[in-house]
Amino acid sequence: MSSYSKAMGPVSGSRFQAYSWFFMRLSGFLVIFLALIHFYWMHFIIGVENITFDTIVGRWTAPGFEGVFWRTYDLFLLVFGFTHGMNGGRQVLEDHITDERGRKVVWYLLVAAWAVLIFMGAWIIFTFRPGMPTPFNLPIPL
Amino acid sequence: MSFITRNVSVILETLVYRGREGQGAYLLHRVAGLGVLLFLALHILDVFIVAFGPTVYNNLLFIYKGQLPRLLEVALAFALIYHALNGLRIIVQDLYPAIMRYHKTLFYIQFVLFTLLFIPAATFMMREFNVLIGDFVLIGGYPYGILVALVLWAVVPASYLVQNVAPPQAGLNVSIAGGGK
Repeated sequence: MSSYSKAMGPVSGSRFQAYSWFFMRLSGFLVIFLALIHFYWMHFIIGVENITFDTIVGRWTAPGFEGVFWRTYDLFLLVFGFTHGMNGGRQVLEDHITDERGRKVVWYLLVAAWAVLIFMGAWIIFTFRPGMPTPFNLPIPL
Repeated sequence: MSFITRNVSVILETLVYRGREGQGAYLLHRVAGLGVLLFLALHILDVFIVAFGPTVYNNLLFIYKGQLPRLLEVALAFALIYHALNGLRIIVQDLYPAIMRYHKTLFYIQFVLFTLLFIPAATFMMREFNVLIGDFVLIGGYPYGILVALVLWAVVPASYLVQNVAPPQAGLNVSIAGGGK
């Protein structure tokens, strides 16, 4: 934790750092199990060489509770894992970038990258079905 | 000093700071975390590509198949397992501050658990690959897996042993780093 560095521009004076500390412990503990089980499943049960489009179809569009379960599982991994990672990246950059302007720029870049990637991940988790229209109706052969 | 030279000197001082186990753990936790974060960004983008259908997605998956990607996946396993166990130690130390008296013992328990999880995992992940010179198998299968596992595993002890090799730095107060049991 970067307890000796000042908060980045837009959040100074708030309780952001305290919430950040608590979030890192909570999400970290949760993601240990989610990520290690996911890694074990993909690399040791299925095997990376065997993963194809059909693997995702089988998981996300499985009938009944199973499909909902895997979409929820992947959504939790996305939200808690990626947010944990981006907040950790922010803490590292905070320790190495000392001027206020640089910190502000980095803060907005990180928030933008976080929002875009969370949106892309959540969008595909919620909307995926085989034969779906391509994003923005791009003319890519299916 | 410029941004780059200042931070390069910060990183070099980190390597020779003589904080020993705790300093090595801090450094590896950060490097492993940033590595996993880079992979996560790539992984979100590649899963997004399933929206473009089976042909596009299956063609893209070459990025995860073959020997070089597998070596990077072993490095990912290293980072995940190390970061997970080290993070768990940090949570335990935050919840029970009195246990800080035994932080080095906790680190060595973590190191044993890391070894027990990572060496078999890495060995298994590399089992189907060989290092070839022409048609001659230099090393392959499980022995190759064990070699890859040991080389990466050695990064953990190296992260704090390197601090004993470097001479004490003038101007750095290194004596306070040796406290604790």
